[in-house]
Amino acid sequence: MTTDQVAFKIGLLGPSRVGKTSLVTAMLSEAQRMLAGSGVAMVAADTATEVVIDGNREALQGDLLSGEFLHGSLLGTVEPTYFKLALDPGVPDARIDIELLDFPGGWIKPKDRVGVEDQWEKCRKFIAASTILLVPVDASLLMETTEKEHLRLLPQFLTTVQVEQVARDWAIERNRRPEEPALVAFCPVKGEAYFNDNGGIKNRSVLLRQRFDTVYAGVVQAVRAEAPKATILYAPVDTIGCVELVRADWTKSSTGIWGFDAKYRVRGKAEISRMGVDDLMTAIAQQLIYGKRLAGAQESDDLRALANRAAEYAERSEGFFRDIWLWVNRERQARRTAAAQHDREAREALHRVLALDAVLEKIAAQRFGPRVSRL
Amino acid sequence: MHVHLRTRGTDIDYRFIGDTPKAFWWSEYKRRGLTDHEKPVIVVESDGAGWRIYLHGAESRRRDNRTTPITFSIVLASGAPEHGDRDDAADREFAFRLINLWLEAVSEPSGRSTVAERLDEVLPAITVDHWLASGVDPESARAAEKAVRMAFSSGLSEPEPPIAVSTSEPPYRRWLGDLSDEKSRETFVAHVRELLDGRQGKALILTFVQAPDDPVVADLAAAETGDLALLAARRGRTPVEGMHPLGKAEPVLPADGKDLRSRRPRPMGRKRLPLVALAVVILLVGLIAWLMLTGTGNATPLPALSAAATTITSCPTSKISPDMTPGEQPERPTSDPRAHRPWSCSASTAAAR
Ligand SMILES: Nc1nc2c(ncn2[C@@H]2O[C@H](COP(=O)(O)OP(=O)(O)O)[C@@H](O)[C@H]2O)c(=O)[nH]1
Ligand SMILES: [Mg+2]
Repeated sequence: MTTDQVAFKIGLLGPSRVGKTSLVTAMLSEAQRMLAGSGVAMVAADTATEVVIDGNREALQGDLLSGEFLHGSLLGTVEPTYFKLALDPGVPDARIDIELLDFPGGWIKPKDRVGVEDQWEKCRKFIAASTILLVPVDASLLMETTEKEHLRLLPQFLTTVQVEQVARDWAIERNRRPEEPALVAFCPVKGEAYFNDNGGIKNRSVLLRQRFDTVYAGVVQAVRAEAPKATILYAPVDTIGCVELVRADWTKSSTGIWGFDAKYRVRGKAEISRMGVDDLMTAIAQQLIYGKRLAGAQESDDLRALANRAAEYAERSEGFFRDIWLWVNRERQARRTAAAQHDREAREALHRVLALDAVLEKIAAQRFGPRVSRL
Repeated sequence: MHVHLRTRGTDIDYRFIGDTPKAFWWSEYKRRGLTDHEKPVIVVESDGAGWRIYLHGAESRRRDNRTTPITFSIVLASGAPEHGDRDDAADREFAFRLINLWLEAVSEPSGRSTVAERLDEVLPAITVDHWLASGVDPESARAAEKAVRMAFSSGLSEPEPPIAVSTSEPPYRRWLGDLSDEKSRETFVAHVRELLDGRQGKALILTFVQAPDDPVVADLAAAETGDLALLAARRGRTPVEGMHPLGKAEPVLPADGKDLRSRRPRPMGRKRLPLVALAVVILLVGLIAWLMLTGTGNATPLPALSAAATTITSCPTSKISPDMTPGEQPERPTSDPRAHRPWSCSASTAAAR
C-alpha cells in the first residue's frame, strides 16, 4: 500500500468476545454480496487480512456444519489487528482502502494496558483519526441478565465506562474537525433471538432497545455532548443469523469469579443469514459520498465555502479530507487522461473509476432497514 | 536467558505476566505478510551472538469469563553478556526442548498437547489470575518464569519421547518445506539446534505462506543473510512437497575486497557510539519530517528506520537483545568461533522491507 493510497479508518470499540472480529468478517462478506456484478470488488488488501478473515469464515462454517455453535472457535485477540480492505474498481491506484482496527478488548481498561502503553497510543491515534466508530453491543448480555446481582456486573462485562471514555475522546476529536463527517454506530450483535425478521419467532426488539438505552445512556450522552453534529445510529446486526440462543447462565467459579455463558444452536438450513450489515455499509458509503460532495462542491456558496475550508484543511491534515482529496484528484486525473488520449484504454479506466462512485452512490442511497434508528 | 509468559486470566485480558518485553519484535512478520503471531507458531532468530524465540498458540484448559479457550505465548531471549548474563548449555537445552514440544503441538493441533498440559500443571487459574492482577510486578514475572522453567525442566513429569532430529547435514542452509512434512520438521529442528549454538539465521513457521514461490518468501530470502529454515503453514494449502532451496545469500565483501572472515571484529567501541547515535538521530528526524510531509493513515513501515540504524553500526557489532525494535536485523560477529559461513555478516541485512 503506497502512502498515496486513500485509507478510511474505522475504529472498533468493545470488550473482548463481544463480536468485533465477526463483525469485520461479516462486513467484508456483505460488501462482496452488495457489489456483485458492479465491476467494483471489495477485497482483503493484505495477506494478513485475507488469511485471518478466511480462517474466521472457515471456523464459522465448521460450527454451522456441525450443528453445534461453539463459542470458542474464535479465540480472543492478543495484539492489535489492522484489517485492511479495499474497494477496487480494477484500475491501478484508484482503489479506496478501508482500514479497521481491532484491539484486545481488555486494553480499553487503563489498568489492563500496563506495559503496552506505546501500542495503545497507536490505537488511540487511529481511533482519533477514524471518522467512523463501530461499537458492537452484546445483546445476549443485555437481554439475559435479569437478577440484581448480575445486573450490577453488566458495566464490567460490557465495559461501558471505558467505552464511554474512548467514545468521548473520539467525539472531542471529531468536534475539532467540524467539516468532517462523523458517525458512531452502536451495533447490537448476538441478538438473533430478539428479532422475528430473520428466522426468529419472537420479536423482543423493543425490550432490547430499552435495555440498550438504559445501559448505554452514558456513552450516547458523551458523544452527543462532545460532538453534537455526529450521526449516532442504533443498528442491530446479525453476523450469523441462523443461530438461536438456547441457554444463558451466569455462573460463579470456585474462586468467586463471575462468568457468563450463552449457548447457541443452529436453526433452519445452517446457512449464514446476515441482517443489518448492509445498513452499516450504507452508513459508511454515505460518509464517503458526503465527503466527496463537499470536496467537489460547486452547487452552493455555502458548500463552496465549506469545501474551501476543507481543502485548506486537507493540506495540513492527515485525516479524512486528505484521503477524499486524493480520491477526487485521481478521478480528475483519469478524466484528463481520457480526454487527452482518446484511446480505449484511458476511457475504460475512467469508466471503471466512475463505476466506483456510482456503486457508492447507490449503496449510500439505500434506505435503512426497520431495525435501524437515529439516536 | 529471559523468559516471558503471556496469557489471559478469567477476567483480565491477554498480557505478559509481570513484565512486558520492550519490543514486540515478532509482530513484524505479520506486517510483512509472513506469519500470524496469534496462530500457533514458532519464530526463532539468531544473530550468532544471541537468539530470541517467540512461541504462540498452546491452548490452556482454562476458560475466560465467556468460556472462550485461552492460549499461551512464551518469549525467550538469550542473556546479554555485557549485563553479566550467561547462557549456559542448560538454557540452550531448555529452549531446544521447549521448541520441540511446541513444534509437536503446532503440527498436530488436534487434542491436548504436552506443552499445554505441562503449562496448565504449573499454572492453575487462581495463580494466573493473581499474577495478572498484580500488573507490572517483578515478583510475578519471576514466579511465572520459574513456573515455565519448572514445566519443561528435564526429569519432570512423564518421560518424553526422544526428539526426532535430522542428524545428517541439512541438504540446504536456506530452504522452505511444509509443516506437515516429517522430514522438513526434523531438519527444522536441526537448524534450531544450530541457531541456538551460534549460527546466524532464522527458523520460522509461516502461517501466511503456502508455496515456495510465494513472493513474500523471495522477499524474505532477499532480506535475510543467514540460514533460513521455513515451514509453510497456511490454512487450506496443498502441502509443499519436500524441501525447496531458497536463493543463496551472497557473501558480502567489504569495499576493500577482503573476505570478511579475515577481518578482525571491531566491537562497537565507546568512541564510535556517539557517531552512531548521531546518525540514528539524523535518520529519525529525517523520517519524522518525511512522515509529516507525506503522512497518511497507512501504517508506515518502521523498519526503514531500524534497518538503516543497523547498517550504520556496521558488521560484527549488533547482537539480538530482547529489547531490539521490530525489524531490526541481527548480525553475527565474525569473531565467533562457531561461525563458519562468510555470508553471515553483512551490512545489507538492512534490506528489510
Ligand atoms: N450468536 C452470535 N454469535 C456471535 C455474533 N457475533 C459474534 N459471535 C460469537 O461471539 C464470539 C466472539 O466473537 P469475536 O468476533 O471473536 O469477538 P471479539 O473478541 O470482539 O473479536 C465468537 O464465538 C463468535 O462466533 C452474533 O452476531 N451472533
Ligand atoms: Mg477479536
